[in-house]
Amino acid sequence: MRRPLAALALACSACATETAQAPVAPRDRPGVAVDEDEARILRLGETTEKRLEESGRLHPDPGLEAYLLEVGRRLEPPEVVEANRFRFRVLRDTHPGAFGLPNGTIYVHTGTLARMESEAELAAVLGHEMAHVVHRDVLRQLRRSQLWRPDWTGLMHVASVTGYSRELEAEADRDAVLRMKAAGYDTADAARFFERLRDWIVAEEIKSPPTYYSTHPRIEERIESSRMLAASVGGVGGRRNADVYVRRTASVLLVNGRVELAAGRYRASWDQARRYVSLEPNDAAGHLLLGEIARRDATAGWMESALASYRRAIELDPKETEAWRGLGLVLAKKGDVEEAKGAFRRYLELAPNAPDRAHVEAVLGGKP
Amino acid sequence: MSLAPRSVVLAAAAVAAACVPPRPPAWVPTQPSYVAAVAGFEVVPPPAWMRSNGRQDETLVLTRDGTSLQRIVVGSSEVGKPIGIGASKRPVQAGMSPQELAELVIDDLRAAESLTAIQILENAPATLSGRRGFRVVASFRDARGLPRRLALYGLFGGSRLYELFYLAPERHYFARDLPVFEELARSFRLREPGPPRQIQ
Repeated sequence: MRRPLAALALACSACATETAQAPVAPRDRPGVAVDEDEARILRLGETTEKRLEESGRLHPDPGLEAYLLEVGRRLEPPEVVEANRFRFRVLRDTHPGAFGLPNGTIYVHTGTLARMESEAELAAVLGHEMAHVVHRDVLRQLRRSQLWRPDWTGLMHVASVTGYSRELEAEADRDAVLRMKAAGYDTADAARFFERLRDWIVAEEIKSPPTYYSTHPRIEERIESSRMLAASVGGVGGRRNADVYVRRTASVLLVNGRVELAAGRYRASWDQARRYVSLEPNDAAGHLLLGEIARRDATAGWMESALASYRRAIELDPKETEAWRGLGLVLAKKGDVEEAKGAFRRYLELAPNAPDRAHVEAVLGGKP
Repeated sequence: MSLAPRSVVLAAAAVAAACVPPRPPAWVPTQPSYVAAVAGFEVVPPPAWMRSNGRQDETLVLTRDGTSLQRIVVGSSEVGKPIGIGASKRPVQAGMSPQELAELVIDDLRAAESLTAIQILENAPATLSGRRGFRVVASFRDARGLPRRLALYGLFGGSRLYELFYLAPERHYFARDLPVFEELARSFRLREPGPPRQIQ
């Protein structure tokens, strides 16, 4: 996703010649007729969903998915939720993004959830993606662009990368704010989400953000239009449910922080790990992540910081294998060879099939 | 094909993501030996394969049937710079142990969000050119969902991390040409790096 993989199928997506079509009605009740082309799109949606399931990139957290569904249900009437069979999944992806498949499955990136701060912001994102599904925007786009016959990657691309036409995006933005207002959410938080996208583009020095995020001038335009929408629709100052949001999405901070760490984005990883530890101070996993960040980042004073975090993780969970490994690595670096060996021995006792066992045995054998 | 020195592993991502290199390289038949005078290494390429290398950095790219079917890459990354497969900003640091270098490579793989279902099948010490390094074998699905496998050796030499890797579709191709890669890895020798020059 959001990679240059799909210059192919998409060349003729949003910009292809439009042809006169019968309007596509929203799927706002069960039993809306499905034509052959839409049936194909729905099957493609199922294939895409299966591929994502197999990818190993989903963050399977039933509690979190249930929370997303709760918020989604506040945004649409029960018959609309039923007609579109909405389901919510979380994708392990550090980029702020979300997309909905035509079959009703909405994917929210961990990078989105980790950056947002309120349920109202979440409602803006879910409402936007749900609007695309309810309005059958993939079908609308397909019928406008008769040359476009996507495979599953093409479907992913239009749903998550290139986005829909400006008109369809604006419609989804508007719909989301209306739904937020109806549900009692602070509609000002829709603009806050786009502000976070802009901040990410600037912080990561993204040269050519996908259309979903939009180019810099266009994201400013979207921030402004969201503010204007909120002002015209009303609902500014509604409930944000920030406390509930932070509590119920805490696990995402850990998951996303780990991926940020692997990518060498230490600051983002550190921020998320710290927030997680403040929410879950007795979870060894948070302290382990702090130790891993300190060890890899290796800035001034890192050894003591890493050692303290690893030791705290072990104190909370003596079977936390990775903390024993990290402890061994730092102690070896520090020159505390015997203590390092002790930590490594404990690591291998707990994880006899560790992938790096041979490395550790080399250290234990005297070849650090 | 032009590969920046730090982007040896990026060649893996190029294959994994799109199955085509970003620019058509100039391919020539392999010779009995390949000397990278500036980067400071030499290897014996397999006979009757095709070779390409960046004019600036001497990264060696080899294939027999096309880079989407098998690719061997030999090159180096400078200390202080990332070796990213695309997303990682984590740099190679002086004094890293083979275990830490292997962790760096694994992190880079995990940071490449176009790669999925990543599994580390092997991570062990290895010796190349008389120096201690590491060998990592990983499997993953590329951006199109095709299962691929990667075997990678790495070692420090002077101020550079040298990387040798072999990437191929998991089914049929990986096992077929793995012995070729292992033989090439055994032939790898570090040399004293020379001054910059244009590669012909």
